[in-house]
This record gives sequence, C-alpha cells and structure tokens, in this order.
Amino acid sequence: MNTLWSRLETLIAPKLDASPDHLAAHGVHLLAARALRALDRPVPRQLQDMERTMALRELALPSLLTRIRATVSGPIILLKGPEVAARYPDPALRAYGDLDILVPEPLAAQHALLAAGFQLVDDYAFPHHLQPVFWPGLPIPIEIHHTPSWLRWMTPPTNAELFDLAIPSATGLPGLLTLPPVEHTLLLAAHSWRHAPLRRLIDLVDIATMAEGLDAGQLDPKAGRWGLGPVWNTTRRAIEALVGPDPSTSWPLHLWARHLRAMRDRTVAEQHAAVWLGTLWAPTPRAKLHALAATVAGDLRPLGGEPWPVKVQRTSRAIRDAASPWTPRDRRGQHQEHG
Amino acid sequence: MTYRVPPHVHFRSLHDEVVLLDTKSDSYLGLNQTAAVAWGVIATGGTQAEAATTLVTQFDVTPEQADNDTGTLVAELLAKGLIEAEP
Repeated sequence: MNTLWSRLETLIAPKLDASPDHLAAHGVHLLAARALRALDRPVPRQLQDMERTMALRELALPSLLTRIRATVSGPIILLKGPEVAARYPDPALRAYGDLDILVPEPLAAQHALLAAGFQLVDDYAFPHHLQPVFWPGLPIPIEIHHTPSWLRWMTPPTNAELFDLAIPSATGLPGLLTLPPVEHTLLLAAHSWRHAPLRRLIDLVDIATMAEGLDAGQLDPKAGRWGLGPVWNTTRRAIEALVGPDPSTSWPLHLWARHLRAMRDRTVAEQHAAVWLGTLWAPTPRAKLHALAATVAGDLRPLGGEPWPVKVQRTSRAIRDAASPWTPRDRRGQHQEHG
Repeated sequence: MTYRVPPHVHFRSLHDEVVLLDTKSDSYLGLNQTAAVAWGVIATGGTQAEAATTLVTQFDVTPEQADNDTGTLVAELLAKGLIEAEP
C-alpha cells in the first residue's frame, strides 16, 4: 500500500548505512532501525541504544504527565512530540527529547513543579522560554511555554484562542489537552520554519502525519487567518514533492527541501540563505520587510552577551566554511528543539 | 508459585528485549533476550519452573542452568518490587 510510511521508507532506504547521528539529525533514526530489521540487516549498537532510550521515555511518559497534571493548576496543552507520536504506526518510532506544554501561567507552573520535587535543567542557555524542569530519574526535560513555538517574525495565535479550541490529549490522560489536528498541523508547520524553513525531514513527516485525513478546505482558511498562508502553502507542496503519492521536484523542494531528499545537513551558506529568504514568506509586504530587516540585523549582531571579537570570529568562520555542512557548532542561538 | 506485575510497574517489549519502569522509584531495568523470554512467562502468570522449561526449549541451556537463571531473575525481580507473589 502506498502510504506515507511506505513512501518514507523508500525515501530513507538509500540512507540506511548513514551514521546513526546523521539519521538522528533528521529524526528518522528509529524508522531506519525498523527498516534495517525488516531487511534482516544488523542494527548498529548506537541505533539500538537510541531505540532503548526512546522506549524508556515512552514508558515514563504516562507517570510523568500524571505528575504534571496533578501539580499544575489550570489547563495544560501538550504539544508536538507525544501527540505526534500517537499518530505514528508505533509511538516509539517518533523520537523526542523533551515535552512541550503550553499553560496560561508558565512561571506559576514552574514554581509548582519545583515545589513538587521537579528540578531545573542546569545547562540551559536559551533565554526565549523558561528554564525547563525534569523529574529526578526521568531524563525528559519539560519546556513550559507561554506561547506556542512560532515563526520569530510573526505573532502566534492568542492563548485564549488555543485554550478555547483545545481537545483531550491523544495520550488519554484525564485533564490533559492538546490542539485539534488542523491547528496542530499549522503549529508544526510554523515550528518547522522557526529557525530555518523546513530544516529536518522529521518536521515534514510530523506535519504530514498530523494532517492525514484533513483537506485543504479545513487547513487553508485557518492558515490564512493565522498569517501562515504562504508558509503553509510551501510546506504542503514540499511534503507532496517529498513524500506525497506522486513525488516530484517542485520548486519548494528545490528551494527549501532539497537537502531533505538527500538527507544531508544544509551547508552553512544554504542555512543562512534559507533563514534570510524565509522571511519573504511573511504574509504582507510590510511584514516581509520587517522580518527580513530584523533577521538580517539579528544575524549581524552579536548574540546576547557575546563580545564583538567573538562575533567577528564566528562570522569569519561562517564565510570560510560556507560550503561545509551546518553543524550543531553553528547552532548557538538557534535552539535545536527536540519536541 | 505464580507472580503478578504490580500496577506501578510498566514494561514493553523492544525487539528481543524487555524494558521495565518502576514508577514508584523511577528506576529502569532492561532484560536481555533470555531474561525477556522468562519475563514473558512470569508476567503472564506462569511459574518459575515453566519459565525455565521455556528457556530450555528456546535456548541452548541445560535444565539446571535454566532453573538457576530463572531463580536468580525471579529473586531479583521480587527484591526490586517488579513482581509480586500471587497469594
């Protein structure tokens, strides 16, 4: 049967011998392990360890979410990772490293969790949301958001709208909420453009999974209302070109997602170009200009607290390594989100 | 004697292994292939002797080895509270 999953298997089949780290960078390492087993081929030890880690996270999830629900008052919306995983053929095939919850009062929620025995994640250096917490013994950081992860140059939908729309979580835990498929699909799309358009293969797979069964009549109007029309349209076309029933090489694939078909990292130059050009997908000319100016200025300025000599050194290195793969070393300031 | 898995213990198969989580202590345990087969018998109401017999049929072990291994496993699982003896 020509399902999303069989098409994805076809896409990753030529890359099964890639290093586990490389596969993990695109979030398809657990799918690759399954494919190797189906072919009766050995699964590298590192991939087996990754599978074990994910199985343990999945086991720990219900008790962790139950603790959070019992501790935090008010509505809690669970986003991304486990909600998407619930739509996979096996939830353990969708890796996630943390949980993302959206609450009306993040600081109060963080204080309540700390008072209940949760602890702060120590080495956290990303100031754009609260320091995550974790339960001792369960290595799953919990990121507490006051707004959904959204395009940097756009305003996300209001919490009032999101909490009003929320439905019971796919985890089945009483009192835990999530977003309906239409809104969740668009949130995943917005998130996939947050740091650079369509960076990882798993982002497109997640979006396609969440959108299964939905039609354009449901998604397009809401995308337009949320100012995501151009972003959603390009994302949808990239998905169709990559893992759609009739894969093609449409321009969104060439422009934004050619590294995904090859399952490689973008080069440093491609990454910067993608970040800058991506701002032109803002909904209005004024918004495009504003987004481009803010993004370019942000790229040219030192990061918070970074001395100018360090910034100059970093920029020189980026120019020198323009054709090299964009690596985690380059990701300072561009939080690699795992949910 | 038969055993049961207490409600605070969650487990899942992972190919030829089993991983267990004790949600009271938040401790994990991974069982290798042979222990996973024995677990499959014990966790579904089988006795230690039945688990040992299963190991003999599926692996190249003597009845004595199988009895010894399953005895050690059951003792460890009981000590860690991962199974309970059925009354």
